Amino acid sequence: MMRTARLYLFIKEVCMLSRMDDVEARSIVVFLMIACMTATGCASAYKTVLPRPPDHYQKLGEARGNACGSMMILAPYNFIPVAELPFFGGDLNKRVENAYQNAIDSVPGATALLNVTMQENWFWWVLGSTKCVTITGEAIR
Amino acid sequence: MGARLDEMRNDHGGGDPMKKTLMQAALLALLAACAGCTGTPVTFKSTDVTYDPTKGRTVSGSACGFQLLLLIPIRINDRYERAYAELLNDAGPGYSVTDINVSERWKYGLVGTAYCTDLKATAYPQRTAVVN
Repeated sequence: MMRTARLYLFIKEVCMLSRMDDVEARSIVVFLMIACMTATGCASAYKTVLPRPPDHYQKLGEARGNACGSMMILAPYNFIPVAELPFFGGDLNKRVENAYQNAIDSVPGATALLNVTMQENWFWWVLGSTKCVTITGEAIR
Repeated sequence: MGARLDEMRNDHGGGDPMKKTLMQAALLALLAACAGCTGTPVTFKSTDVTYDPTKGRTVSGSACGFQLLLLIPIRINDRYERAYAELLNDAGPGYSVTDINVSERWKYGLVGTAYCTDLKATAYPQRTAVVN
């Protein structure tokens, strides 16, 4: 929020120095802010969900894990992923990683999964939306 | 004064009360339908076919969808399925796909958010059985 305010003041100052009137300066500020927001995004790291099975392994049974993450609507900050808040369900960018880990943890002694099924479900709660990933598979060690 | 206000209200509200009710019902139905969705599940099958582990090559698949106004899904729910189909297509026939990695990314698009799923894997050529 502070950064946005500073950016606004900085751009306005530059526009004033170049002798633009207030309306022109404001239009440029709005345009630049929209351009910045449009360029906002995020990507998670790659997570291995189906490793190459080892030569010898023991099947332990079905594993299941779920993890969620949320995005809020509070414009213009609706692109901020809600991180680590229990009510909102966790980190949006780590939902696959967390779901896989939860699936591994659901079977004691498991080290990997075979025949992995991934499914996403989401729900909208007016101020934002939550995305959840469920991973199921055959636990092995 | 009251008649003038009614006239103004009708100008902005669309006039016909029946039409207004239908619009409201349609909006409510849309909100209810989109308040939550379950995506198409995708199963990454572990290969049980023998393959040549020395000739692996990286293959990839990607699919995106857009969530309009946070609640209207546009090609969001079958994202995993489409990305996996693209991955298998990139591998081609006669290849076993394993080491599947998933990455999720999103991009803010003013009226909503674009969500993409990227898959990366290794494809190995399957060994054909020798028939004597």
